[in-house]
Amino acid sequence: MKFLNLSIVSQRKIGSCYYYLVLKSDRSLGRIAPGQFIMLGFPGRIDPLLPRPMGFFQALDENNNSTSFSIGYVAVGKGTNLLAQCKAGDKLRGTGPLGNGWNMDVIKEKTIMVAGGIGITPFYLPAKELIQSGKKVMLLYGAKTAADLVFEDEFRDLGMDTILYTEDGSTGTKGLVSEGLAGHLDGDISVLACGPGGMLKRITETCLPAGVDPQLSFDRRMACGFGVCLGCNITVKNMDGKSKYVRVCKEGPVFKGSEVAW
Amino acid sequence: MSVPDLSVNIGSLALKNPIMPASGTFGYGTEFADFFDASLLGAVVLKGVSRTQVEGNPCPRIYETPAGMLNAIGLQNIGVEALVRDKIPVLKNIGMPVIANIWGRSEDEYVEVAAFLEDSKDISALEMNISCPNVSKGGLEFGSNPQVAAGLTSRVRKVTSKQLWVKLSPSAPSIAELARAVEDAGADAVSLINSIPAMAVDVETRKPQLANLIGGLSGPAIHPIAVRMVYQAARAVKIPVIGIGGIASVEDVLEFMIVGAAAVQVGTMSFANPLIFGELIDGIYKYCERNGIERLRDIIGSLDYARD
Repeated sequence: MKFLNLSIVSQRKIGSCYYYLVLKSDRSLGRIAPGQFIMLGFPGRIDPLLPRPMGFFQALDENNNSTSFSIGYVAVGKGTNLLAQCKAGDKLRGTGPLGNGWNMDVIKEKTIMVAGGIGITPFYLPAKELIQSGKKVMLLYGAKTAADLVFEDEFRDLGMDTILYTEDGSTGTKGLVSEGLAGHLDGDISVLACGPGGMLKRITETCLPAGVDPQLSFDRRMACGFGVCLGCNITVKNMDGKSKYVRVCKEGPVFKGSEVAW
Repeated sequence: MSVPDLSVNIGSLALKNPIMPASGTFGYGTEFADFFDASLLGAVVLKGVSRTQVEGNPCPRIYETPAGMLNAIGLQNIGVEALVRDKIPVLKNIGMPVIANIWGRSEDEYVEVAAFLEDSKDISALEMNISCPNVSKGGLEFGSNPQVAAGLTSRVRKVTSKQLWVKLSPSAPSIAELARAVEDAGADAVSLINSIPAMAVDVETRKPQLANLIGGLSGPAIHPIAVRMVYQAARAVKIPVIGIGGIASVEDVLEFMIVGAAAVQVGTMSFANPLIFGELIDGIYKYCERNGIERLRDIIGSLDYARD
């Protein structure tokens, strides 16, 4: 975890309100583990005040020594709309890499990644790593409508089987991506999921009876991202069955479906 | 001119500079270790502890507002025994004063926590929180009435030989009266302000932005209110006043000191910029150099009322 001075290399608008942002840091972030995130903020501003948690999309340097990386985001509020107006050369600051990311040590020979909307971004790094190590990876990518499925090409370019879902049927299969998952839960597989809370809950309810404990990446409001503000807690179940609060930023953002107290 | 002297005193406690983190924004003192050497601080103020562990409020607990944020964490903490067992040993070699922030759900609990810490040699002072807006007990009910605040202060005073700071609420009808009441009851310093009770609503869903409905507003938005209250408190008491509230710049620190604060605490802004502590210390040093100030403490309460 480092405090980084960042400059924007490029920013590209994709579709209605989605953006692909490439950033360069003044110093190395070290290795960005798949599923980690960064808190991105505006230097010298008090409004918006707080940085925003953003999953790393791509690490753009070789040798696990990242200074350049990309972020995918959707402009939905004051902070992200301001970010959307930034141009190449503009300065940002960041705290990261943060969180534990996906547990890559327990991944099986076949993995299904389930992405809801902008929840697609933390899948690029693990997908690339798994494909390079010869494992089989499939992507189920769902959103409200076709215009929200903006990062499909990046994943197809990795050579992944990709199945699209939209709630309105404008492209791919009509329906929720979490419903589509049920038909693919055969054999010894791993499931990784990132998206809205309701989707993660449905995925857990689908996976656990099939004997698969999904890894889920949570998105929460965060003020600091490194464990002091205690604003991002979720409830998990202890071994003894008692529930307790844990910090999504520090103990997460990835949790096993079986440990989350829904 | 000689090198500016940034040291300040809170009673008998000497701080090498006036910059402290505010309780609840610095964890138990080690969470910022990746960013900077905590020994550069004047002191550390730890997350508030109660007698036993507290889980705090349900989420969502935070919400950003213009130049500020709401929080309703609910004083989640590990309890005073775990603090002494697990956290204080890690801090004791940092080489600066450690301030424990304490609270309770009853007057008895405040007394128990203070008594428990009495033998902890590595804690220099207790900051007693009588002003958290986010817990039904242990918060404002002790902090908005001067008689109640004074009664609690004198009970805790009896069980601790450490410095006793009392953290005051901006909701007090008269901050001057409240500050005087706890001074008379034996407080060694007052710190203010705690966050301001506040609320926000999602107009699309018509739900409150915080599960607790009401939270505490902090951040730059509250700074001018804090300056006014520090000014009023400093004029009312002889004990040191510690300024808290929305510090985001060197000017904000100096403003507090000029209206009478002997030291300051920095909270919300360090979430956005974890390096702010070092930047502020550097900035006040340069301010002293630029203005020929040999001892920073000479600016405390130096407000110039004369109109040009």
